Amino acid sequence: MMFPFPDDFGPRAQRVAGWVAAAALLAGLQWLGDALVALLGWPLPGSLLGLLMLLGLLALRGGVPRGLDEVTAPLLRHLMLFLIPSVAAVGLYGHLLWQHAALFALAATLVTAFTLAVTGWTLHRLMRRRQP
Amino acid sequence: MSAAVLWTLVTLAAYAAALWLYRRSGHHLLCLPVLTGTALVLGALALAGTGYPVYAEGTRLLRWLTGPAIIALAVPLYRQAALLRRMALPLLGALLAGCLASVLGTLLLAQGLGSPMPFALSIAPKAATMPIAMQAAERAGGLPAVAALAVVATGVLGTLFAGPVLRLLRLDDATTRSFALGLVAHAIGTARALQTHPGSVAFAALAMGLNGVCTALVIALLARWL
Repeated sequence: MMFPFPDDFGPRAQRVAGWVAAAALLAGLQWLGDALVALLGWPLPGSLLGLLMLLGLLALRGGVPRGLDEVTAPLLRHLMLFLIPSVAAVGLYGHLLWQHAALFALAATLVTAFTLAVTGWTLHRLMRRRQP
Repeated sequence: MSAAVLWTLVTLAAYAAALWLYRRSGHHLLCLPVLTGTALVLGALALAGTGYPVYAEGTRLLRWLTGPAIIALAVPLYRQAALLRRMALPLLGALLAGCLASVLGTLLLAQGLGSPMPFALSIAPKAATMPIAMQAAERAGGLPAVAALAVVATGVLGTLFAGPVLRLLRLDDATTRSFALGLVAHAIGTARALQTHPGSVAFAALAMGLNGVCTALVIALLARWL
């Protein structure tokens, strides 16, 4: 291997170390979240506890490290890729969806419109009260 | 080639094709990569005569990555948190009201129609962002794939309904509209807010992150209690 500019090696190695540390942090938080959920018996996804723990760590640190930013950006951009294998299970539930199509359709239309109205009304009222 | 390598490659290829189609269609709502990509995978499974359990086993690594990707949502959420410090009461009040309206509205509707609880719990997290909704449904004893479809339907319809509903109620300021879009229609609504109200898109991104967390907590509480 050749390094024509040996000075360049330091920052690059540091950058890779940042990625490795960020990946290890994400995997560690996933493991810890799963372990806590199993221990406490909560019906909560372990990764949600991981999200809250990372949020707490970022608030304590007061900023997003560059390595973490560079590792999470592609994970978030291609989230849909990781979901495809789980969504493909719909092939198994065709009959169930058809059987409960009324609930599905009414929830998607009526409840969605109702939620928009409740959210908008509450936010509007609370903002107006704050700034009379 | 082992089944794991084969089906991971097939999924990657389906995703790449779906992404290309999504860009070609000008980001059309019905060409969301998760929909077209899944359709391509289902086509490949049918052609190969492979059952879903074999495919699910082969794509364990891809499915596992959903967890770290959910944890990664803390980064954008942290970046929008400054807004929350500035106007905590209105935003958290609207979050709680909207989250409960969506989850309880769906469960009450299910009760009225006499639908079984596991199916209702699959649809109830429909306003949350897809990975969180799917895992919340699964942990509560529901079906993640059904949750995914309810999430897409809610995202598309919520984005279409937001303008008319809020105009009808005379609530059509940019902040309210963006926050409601992010809360109800997650990433799809946030993308629309970016197009129509770029100045207040941070409210949509914040609402999406907050409602993901809030919905998962509410579903977990209800699953324990029901």
